Amino acid sequence: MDFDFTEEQVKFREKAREFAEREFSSEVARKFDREEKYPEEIRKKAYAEHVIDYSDPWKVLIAIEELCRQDAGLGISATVPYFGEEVIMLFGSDHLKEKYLQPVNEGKSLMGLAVTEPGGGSDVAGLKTTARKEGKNYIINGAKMFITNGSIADFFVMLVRTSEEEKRHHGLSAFVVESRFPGFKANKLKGKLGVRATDTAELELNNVVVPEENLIGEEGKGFYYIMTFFNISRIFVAGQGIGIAQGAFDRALSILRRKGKAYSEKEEIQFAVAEMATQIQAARLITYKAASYLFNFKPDPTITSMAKKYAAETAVFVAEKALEVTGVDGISSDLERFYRDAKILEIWEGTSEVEKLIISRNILKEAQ
Amino acid sequence: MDQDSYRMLRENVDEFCARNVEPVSLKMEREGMASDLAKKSGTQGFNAAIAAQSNGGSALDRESYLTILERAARSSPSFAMFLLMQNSIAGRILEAAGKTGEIGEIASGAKTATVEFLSLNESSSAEYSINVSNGKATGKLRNVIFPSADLIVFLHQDSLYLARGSDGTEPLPVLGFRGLGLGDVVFRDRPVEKLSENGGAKLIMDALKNAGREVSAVALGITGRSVDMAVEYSRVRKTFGRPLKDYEPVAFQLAGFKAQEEELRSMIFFSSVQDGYIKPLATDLARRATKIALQVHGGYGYLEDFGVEKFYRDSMTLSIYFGPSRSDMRNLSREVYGEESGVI
Repeated sequence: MDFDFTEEQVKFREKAREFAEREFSSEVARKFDREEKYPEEIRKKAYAEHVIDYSDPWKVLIAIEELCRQDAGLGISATVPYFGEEVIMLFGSDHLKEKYLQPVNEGKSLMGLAVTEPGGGSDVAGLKTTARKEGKNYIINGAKMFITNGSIADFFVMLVRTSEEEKRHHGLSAFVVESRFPGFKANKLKGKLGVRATDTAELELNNVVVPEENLIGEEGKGFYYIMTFFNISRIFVAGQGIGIAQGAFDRALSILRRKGKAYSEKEEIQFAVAEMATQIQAARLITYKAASYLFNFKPDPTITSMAKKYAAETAVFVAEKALEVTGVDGISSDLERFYRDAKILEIWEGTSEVEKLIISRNILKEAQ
Repeated sequence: MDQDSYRMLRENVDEFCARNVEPVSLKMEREGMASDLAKKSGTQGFNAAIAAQSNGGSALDRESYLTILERAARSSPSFAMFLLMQNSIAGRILEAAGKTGEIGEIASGAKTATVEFLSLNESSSAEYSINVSNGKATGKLRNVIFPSADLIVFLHQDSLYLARGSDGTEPLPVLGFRGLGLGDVVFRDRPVEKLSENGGAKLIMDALKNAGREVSAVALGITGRSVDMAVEYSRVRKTFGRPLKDYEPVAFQLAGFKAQEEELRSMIFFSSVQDGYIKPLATDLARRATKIALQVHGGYGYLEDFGVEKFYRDSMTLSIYFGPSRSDMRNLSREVYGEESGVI
C-alpha cells in the first residue's frame, strides 16, 4: 500500500492548481456564476495547456480536484467536455471512436451524456424516450432533462428505449445523437442553485433520424453500458466533492487566519477545523481507493458508490461548517458559492439514496 | 385576541401572500423587493405591526406578530425578513429614539428601513470606515442587509445615527434573503441625524436579543413550507413505479420533520420557554429540513423555478445573520450553569 503519488503526478497537481488559481480568480468565478455562462475560453485554455490529460486517469482525477477546489462551476465546465466518452471508448465501434472521439480528444468538439428524463431520475430503466428502427436508421422521440453540456455539445451518448417487450432494462440501447440532427432541440436551464457556469439543458427529440451505425455496441445492452459508465464517472464526481470540500476549507482557514488567534483558537472553532480536515482526508482516501481499483481494471462498485456518496456529503458538510465558523465574513465571500455548488453532488450521477441502495444491496448479496 | 381572531389573522396573511407575494417571489429573489410590496404590506398593517397606534403602528400582540412572520416566511423568507427588519430591529430602535414620523412612514410603506448590525457579530471583521462630523457621514458601511432601504440606522463610536438614503451601494455575494440583498453602503458628506449619544451598540444588541422568538417564527415558516412542498412533491413524483412517499426513508424523514415543526410551533406560540432556548432549535431545524426538502425534489429542487432552493439558502443565512452565535450560546451556557462558561 503506497499513499504517495508519483513525482510526475505531484508536478501535474501543481500545474493544475497553478492554472486554476491563475484563471479562476474570485472576480471571474463570480462573473460566470452571476451570468450563468459557459466558460468556453477557459475550456480551450485548459485543453491547450494540457490540464486535462487523458493519458493517465489519475491526472484527470487530480485536475478535477484542483480545478473544483478553486471554483466548481468553472472547474466542472473545464473538465466535462468529454462527459460520456468512456461509453464509446469501451463499447463503441472503431467508426464511432474515430468520427466522434477524435475531435473531442483534440479539443475541437464537446460531448454530453443524455440519460435522465423529465419524469425520472434515479429510475434509469424507466426511461420513456424511444428509438424505432426504420430501414437503416432509428427514429428517436422523447425528452431528456438536466443534461450537462446540453445546449453546447456537438453530440450526446443517449440512452433510449428500443424495445417495449423486453424486461425494462433489457429494452434500452445507447446511441450517438448529434445536436445538428433535424428534430433535436436544446433549451438551456437557467436559475440553478449552484455550478451556474456549467451548461445544463432540457433536450427535445422530435423524430430525430439517427443512422444505425450510431448505435453503440449491441441493441438492448444500453443499460449495462451506462451503469458501467456510472461506475467510472462516480469516481470523478467524488473528485469534484473533494475539490469543493478542500476549496471551502482553504477559504475558511484563510478567513480564520485573518480574524486572528483570539477568534480561531476557541475550542468550538478548533473542533470544527479538525472535523472538516478529518472528513476531507477520509473522503480523499476512499476516493483514491475506489480510483485505484478502477484504474487497475478491477473496479469495485460498492467502494465506488461509497466514495461518491461520502465525498458528496463531505462537500456539503464542509461548505456548511466553513460558513458556520466564518459567519458574516464567510457568507459575504466566495464561500457562499461553495455552499450552493456543493449540494448538486448529492443529486447528480446517482443521488446519495441511490448510492446507499447500491452499497447495501451489494453488501447484503455478498453476505448471503 | 381569541383563537378565532388568530385564525382569521393567519388566513388574512396567507391570502395577502397568495395574492401579493407568491406571484413575485421568484422575481424578488432575482431583482430585489419592489417598493410597491412594502406599500401593499403597509395597508395591511404588517410593516409596523408592533408599533404603538399613536405612532401609526398596529399595536398587535406578540402572538399576532409571530403569526405574520411565520406565514410570510412560508411564501417568501425575504419578505418575512423585511417585516422583521421593519418591526423588530429598525422599528424598535426608531420608536425608542422617538422617531414617530419615521415609524409612520414605515407603517405605510412610504419608506423602508434597515439597521447595520452585522458589524456587531463577532464573526465579522469588516473594517469600519465611517467618519461622522458636523452632522455629515463619509465612508462605507460594510455588510448591510437591505442596503437599498430609505432609512439607514448605523452605529458610529457607540452612537446611533440615521441616514436618509445613501450615496451608493456596492452589492456583495448574497446567499440568502436576496429580496433584500447584502452590500456596502457609501456615504459622501451625507447628512445624518444622531439618534442616541451613547449605548448605541447595546440598543441594537437588545433589539436583536428580543427578536429571538421572531427569528424562530421565520425559521418555523421556512421549515413548514419547505417540508410541505416536499410532502406534496413526494405524493406525485414516481420512481421505480411508486410515488416517493411510499419509500420509508422519504416518508419517515418528512413525517419526522412535520412532528418537529409542530413541536417548535408549540414552543414559539404556546410555551414560556425562553427565546434563547428556542432559537438554536428553530434555526437548526430549518437548516436540516430544507436540506432534505431540496433532496426530495432531486434535480428539480436545484432550480429556482421550483421555489424550494431559496429555503435552503435562506435557512443558512438566517442562522448566520441572527445566530445562534457563539455569544448567544455563551449566554445560554451562563443560564444553564449559573455562571460564566464556554469561554475557552
